[in-house]
Amino acid sequence: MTSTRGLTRRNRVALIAGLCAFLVLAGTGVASAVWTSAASVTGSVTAATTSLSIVGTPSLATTYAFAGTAAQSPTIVRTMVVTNTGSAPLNYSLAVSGVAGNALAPLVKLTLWTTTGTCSTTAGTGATSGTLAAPPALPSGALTAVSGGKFTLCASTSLNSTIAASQGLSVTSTLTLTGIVGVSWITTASDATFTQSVYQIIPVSPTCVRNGNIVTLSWTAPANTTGASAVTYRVVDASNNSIVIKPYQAGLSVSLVASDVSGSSGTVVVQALDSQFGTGSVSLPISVYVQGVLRCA
Amino acid sequence: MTMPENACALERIFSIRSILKTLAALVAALFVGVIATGGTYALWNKSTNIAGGTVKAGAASLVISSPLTMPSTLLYPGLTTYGTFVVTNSGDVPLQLTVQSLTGVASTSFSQSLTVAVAVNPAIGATFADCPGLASYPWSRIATSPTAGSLGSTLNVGASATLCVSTALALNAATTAQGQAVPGFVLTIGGTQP
Repeated sequence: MTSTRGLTRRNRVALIAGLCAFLVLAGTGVASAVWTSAASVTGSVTAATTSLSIVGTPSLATTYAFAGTAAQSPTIVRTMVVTNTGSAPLNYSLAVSGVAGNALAPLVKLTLWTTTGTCSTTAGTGATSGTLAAPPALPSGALTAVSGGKFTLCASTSLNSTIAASQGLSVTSTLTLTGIVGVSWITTASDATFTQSVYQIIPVSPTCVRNGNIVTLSWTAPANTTGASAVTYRVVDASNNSIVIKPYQAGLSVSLVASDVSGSSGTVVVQALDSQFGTGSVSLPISVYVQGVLRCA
Repeated sequence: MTMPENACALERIFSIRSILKTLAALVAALFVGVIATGGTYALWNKSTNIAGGTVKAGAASLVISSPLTMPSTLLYPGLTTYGTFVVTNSGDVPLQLTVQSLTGVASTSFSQSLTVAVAVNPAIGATFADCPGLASYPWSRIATSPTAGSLGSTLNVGASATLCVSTALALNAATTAQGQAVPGFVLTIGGTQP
């Protein structure tokens, strides 16, 4: 039998049962709230900075002038001061720029060491060596520095060649010190560039004066000769130096007549030779010709 | 008895039966509901009178008993610095400690590489010198992504604990982070009744 109004009996029973269950469960439910509290503190953090300086590299400038073999090359010892001017420790490395493709750079030996005193002529313990073209690693005492750390870096250079073989070569370099902490914090510093060169007597600039049938070539002594230099001069054919018109002599002039240049191209040069160091130079060409007598062009 | 009278009486009988069924369903539902709520329902009772008293609600209270002290050391890639502060449970219930928030951190190349970590130092009288030796820091976040998290420690009523705060700059921190600062971060420690 079904109710004539509203819900069926079965639905009414189910509704009442559900309502009762809800009321019982809700009435006996456990409180879910918990007690909490919180408190705060404040703080600050700041990042460091990186910077460094290297002072003294320009003092490495020099001109090599020595007699004999490479073993006789003087050793140039100079002092550089490296300072970590930032607020973070740094790992150092050294590089030399301006040496790519340079003929002299591989011939200049570079030695580095640290000292707590003054740089002596003898490399200290732990010294490292290379060349300007392939510079050495920094010595152990110069690999790291704390913030504000300063140390003296000694550098010596010498020519691993003779003056005769390397005369006139020159290299202008920059020593660059790099400091790094972490992966990306990199800072670099360098002092001014310095130039090292190998002595070569500079060419003379002869003048040509005719007097009758005599042509006189005269010049002044090269300005860059050292005090001990013994410079001699000779005149040769400009296009064939084996044709010697006047042999080496110490005077600052030579006199020529037409017979002196027979078999020559008519263009001559004056060669200067500093026999002590084995360096020579060649003047600009001078043209002479024979028209009855020898004349200046 | 006429047929209509019989029908009416029958209908009354059915109506009474319906009411009984409904009552039975109600009782069954109550039974199920009570059983479903669990617990025991022993009916032992004993009562006695006591003098009048005061019922007062307890409270959860976590206070900073020593503020955070961070070293003045400047951070660089690879460096971790440590600071400490002390919290005290001055309430009436034990509290599970959490890091609720880290605020006051602007997004910079410095803060993006900055890791802030917090740990409870169980040693009594611990100082910041003890912080590097902790086995782990349960809460460790990049400063710009400081989601809340548990410190895995419960502070009993009346107890104090030293909390270590570490700040570390990543090795690959950008060079633009140099000289930057997080001048006033706010670290909020929460205590929750277990």
